[in-house]
Amino acid sequence: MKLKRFLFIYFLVVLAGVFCFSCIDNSYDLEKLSGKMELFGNSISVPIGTTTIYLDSVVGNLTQDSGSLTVKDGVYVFEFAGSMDMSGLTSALGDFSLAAVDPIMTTTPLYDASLVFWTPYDIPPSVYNYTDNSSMTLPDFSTDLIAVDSVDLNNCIVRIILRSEGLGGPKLKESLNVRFIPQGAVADYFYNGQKIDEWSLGMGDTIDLEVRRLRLAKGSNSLEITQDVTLNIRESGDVTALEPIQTMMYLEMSFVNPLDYEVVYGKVNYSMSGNAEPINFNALGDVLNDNVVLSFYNPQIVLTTESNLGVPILFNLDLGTSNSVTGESRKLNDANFVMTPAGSPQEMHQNRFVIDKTNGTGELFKINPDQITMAYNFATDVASAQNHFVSKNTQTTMNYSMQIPLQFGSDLNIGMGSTMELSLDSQEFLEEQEDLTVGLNLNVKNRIPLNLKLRLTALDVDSMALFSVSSGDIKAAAPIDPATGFATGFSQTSTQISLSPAHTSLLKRTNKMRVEFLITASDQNPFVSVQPSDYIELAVGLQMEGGLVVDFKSED
Amino acid sequence: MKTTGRILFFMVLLIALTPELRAQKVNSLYFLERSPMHTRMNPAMAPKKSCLGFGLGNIALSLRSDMALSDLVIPGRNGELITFMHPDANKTKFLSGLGKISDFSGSVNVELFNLGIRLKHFYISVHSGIYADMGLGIPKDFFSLFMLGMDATQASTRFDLTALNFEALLYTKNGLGFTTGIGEIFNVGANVNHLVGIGNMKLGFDELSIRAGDQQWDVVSKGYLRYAGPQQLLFTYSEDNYLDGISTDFSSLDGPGNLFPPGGGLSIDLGLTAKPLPFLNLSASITDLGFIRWSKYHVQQAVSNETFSFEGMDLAFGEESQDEEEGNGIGDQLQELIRLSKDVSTEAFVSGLTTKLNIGGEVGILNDRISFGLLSQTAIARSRLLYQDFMLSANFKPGSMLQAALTYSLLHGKMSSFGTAVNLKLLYVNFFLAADYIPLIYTPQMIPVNNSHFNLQTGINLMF
Repeated sequence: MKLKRFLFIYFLVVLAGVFCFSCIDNSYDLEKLSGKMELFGNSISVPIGTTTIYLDSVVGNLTQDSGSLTVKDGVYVFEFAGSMDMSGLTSALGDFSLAAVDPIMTTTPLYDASLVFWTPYDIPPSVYNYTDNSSMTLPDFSTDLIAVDSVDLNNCIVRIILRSEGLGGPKLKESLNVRFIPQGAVADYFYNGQKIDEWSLGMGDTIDLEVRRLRLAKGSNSLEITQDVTLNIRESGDVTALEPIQTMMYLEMSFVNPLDYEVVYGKVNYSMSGNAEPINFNALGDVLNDNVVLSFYNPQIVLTTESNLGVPILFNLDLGTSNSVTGESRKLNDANFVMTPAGSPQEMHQNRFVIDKTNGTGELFKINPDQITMAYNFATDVASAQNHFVSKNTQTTMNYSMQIPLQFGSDLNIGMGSTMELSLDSQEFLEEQEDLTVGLNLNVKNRIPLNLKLRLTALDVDSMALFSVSSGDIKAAAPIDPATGFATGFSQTSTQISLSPAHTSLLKRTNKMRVEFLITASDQNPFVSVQPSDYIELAVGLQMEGGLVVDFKSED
Repeated sequence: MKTTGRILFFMVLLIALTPELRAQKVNSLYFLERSPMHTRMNPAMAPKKSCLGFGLGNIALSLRSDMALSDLVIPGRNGELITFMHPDANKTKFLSGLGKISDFSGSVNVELFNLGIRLKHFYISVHSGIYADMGLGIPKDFFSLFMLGMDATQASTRFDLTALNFEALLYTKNGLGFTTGIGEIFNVGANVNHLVGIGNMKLGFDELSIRAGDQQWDVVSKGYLRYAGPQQLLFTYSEDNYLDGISTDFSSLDGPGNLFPPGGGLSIDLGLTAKPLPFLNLSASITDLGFIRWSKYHVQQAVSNETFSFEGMDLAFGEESQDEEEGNGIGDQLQELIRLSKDVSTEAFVSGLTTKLNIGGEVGILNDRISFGLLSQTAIARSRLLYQDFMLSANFKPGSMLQAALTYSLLHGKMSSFGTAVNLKLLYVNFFLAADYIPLIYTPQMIPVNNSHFNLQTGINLMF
């Protein structure tokens, strides 16, 4: 029995000992467990993703306030078009008119019956000849605008009326004939549509002649006409003197309508200046940085004029660009042209002028302008040996077309990018990183004929740069067609952007991150052209070295 | 629904469970013949009294790991406790201590009902219980990947994750046992159990490897995820037919096979004891020799047999990516790596239990008041040896009221693998409590420091 009791007690002691002598190891107090964990202590590279950026997705979406983006021959082209205000010229010419011509009356003495004793007196049969001249003075049609040399008239009718004083008789009309002979070549007379050099009227007749041209050169300022009068009395009593006076013939000459012209010839002296509506040039949009050299290889401005004006015009285009952000501006001052006149009043003559890289248009855009202005001056070329003419309905238009192909010159240096808000809430997380180096590995297949470089700039709340890191150069596509500037192949580049521990510590103060592509031209060709099908294929990998430290307790 | 499914999916994926499911009973009870659950370990070893238990008759819990807490946390400087992933921890040392695969497992067994009737030399029992076993195997390279990452001097680093696997099994066992003596020396017994499979999920790979580089990860994924169970749990697939989660739908409880349980099977336990000498007991048993056949109507399977390159997300410059709408979280990317696609050719399959061969010998002294036992336990699954365990036991059996054992298991050969068992009987109430791996050192939060294994078995029954 004692043995049983002993064994019982012994076993209880052993059993209790198993549990009771189990001890608490305070060094394993889980309350003191650090939440810090280091992941990927050596390094880790993770493919973040791939993307293919077609140029069309970037450039194709660019919009212009007053222009458009089109593709011509495979090349992107910014196009702007507008017109110059030529209304000043047409208005001035339209105001020109011909002054009115005063009517004249010429008196020619005929048979002198003042000494006859009775009347009616039968003038003895015979042939009586008389000669006289008429002169219709023309006003000075010239103005300050036009030194009129000659005029093509429109529906210009001169009316000539013959009447007599003191003559009568049954055959007076048949017996008296007046032959009119214009002197000089001042006017061209037409009767029934036929040009005539002379014409005749009987006593009491009226004739309407059309004058189609007046020649006023060399001081000619009147219409001179000689009248040869023949009074042929065959039998006594055919013509009688009705009163004992000196019989007379009266010739009245007047223009039926106010003078109107179709074409005026002579030197035109006119000048004017003006401005085209400014072009808001968005170009590559807000994504472009400041301080860039936006080198378009061959921007072109094409001016086209169309006019029936027979006046040579000296034209000067004053093209300017400005960048409202940097305050920079550029001008192109030596764009002078001569608008050749229409060959005839019926011709709508066209002129086309091209201002391109030979005029230095590329320089205009290197400041990354946001506005393009066009001022112009023109004046008629009074020194020209050519005769001038102005039609009654002068029409003159001047249009411009600005074409800026996305062909870049060798000094291109731009940055395109955008700024992203960052919300790095876990500042404690960043504080834990002591040795962490973070890198972005970039494998780039570049089909764009431009060298690229990726740059990240950390900005604080005041948009001040905290640090900036860049990738290596991403080579431009190659080869490049020397004729068109198009890439015909691609390049492949592996490069990296690294954030050192010093950078990661600055991330705590980072409010925004600016992501930019720094773009320079390929030196393979004087120019390169970008086309919608150009692309850049990016494979992005994240690489971390030195261990990523996280503290799970800090999230509590 | 989709988010819930994803959470479920990855909870299942990441829960720490074993690759080989080992429904554990506490071996320390093996030599306490008055314990009512004694007969579960060897049907020939039946209690001398009749027994009745409801709900609390037997509750067993087992947690196993290849790593103890002391492997995972290390006392650091200034009294701070650091994890094995802390920047100051020696990660290379930790990794060198790992095997090719690290197993984590757990099991729970609750006996819902048991009744044993002693009729002189016969003992007849009926029992019904529910068993849940779960396990996860994590390959060493998995730890290497997250702890060290890649070899910075190489363009790429290969990680072999083929051993990544998990399995979860839920079933009920309803059995009938019979024990009888054969002469004065021998006892034989058998349990015949009807198994009802409730659910089984298994992930495994013939090959899963990642060659990690900075621009792409080349992945070879040849494996499967198989689920057998109620059809209310559904695999969901993306538009391109890849598994993207698990959803639940209880709107329709009817359907082919819903009238029957997902799985059914049979297992037997056979036992033999011999008492060739008055002080010597020899015993042998084989338990859980059986299978569960899962109905094809309840099987869903997703397979992968792909070699592909993972190049990250489609960054979709300047556009709203559809990926963004669907989420690009780590979970999605893990799915993307494994790429399990729907396998419509699902068939019925059979899953085996882990069979245990127990061979024991017990020598008694002082009229068997004290005895010393040796137990060999061999676990076999799919014709493969899972483990071999030896247990030394010192047993104290002063009377019918108390039996106790102090054991030492040689599975790991550490001092921490002391175990003990107590069986108390007060009038008609029998209480037992046993554990094979009693921790000797605890954290202040009473978490074992050095134990990577822990099990516990307890129960209250009426014995009359």
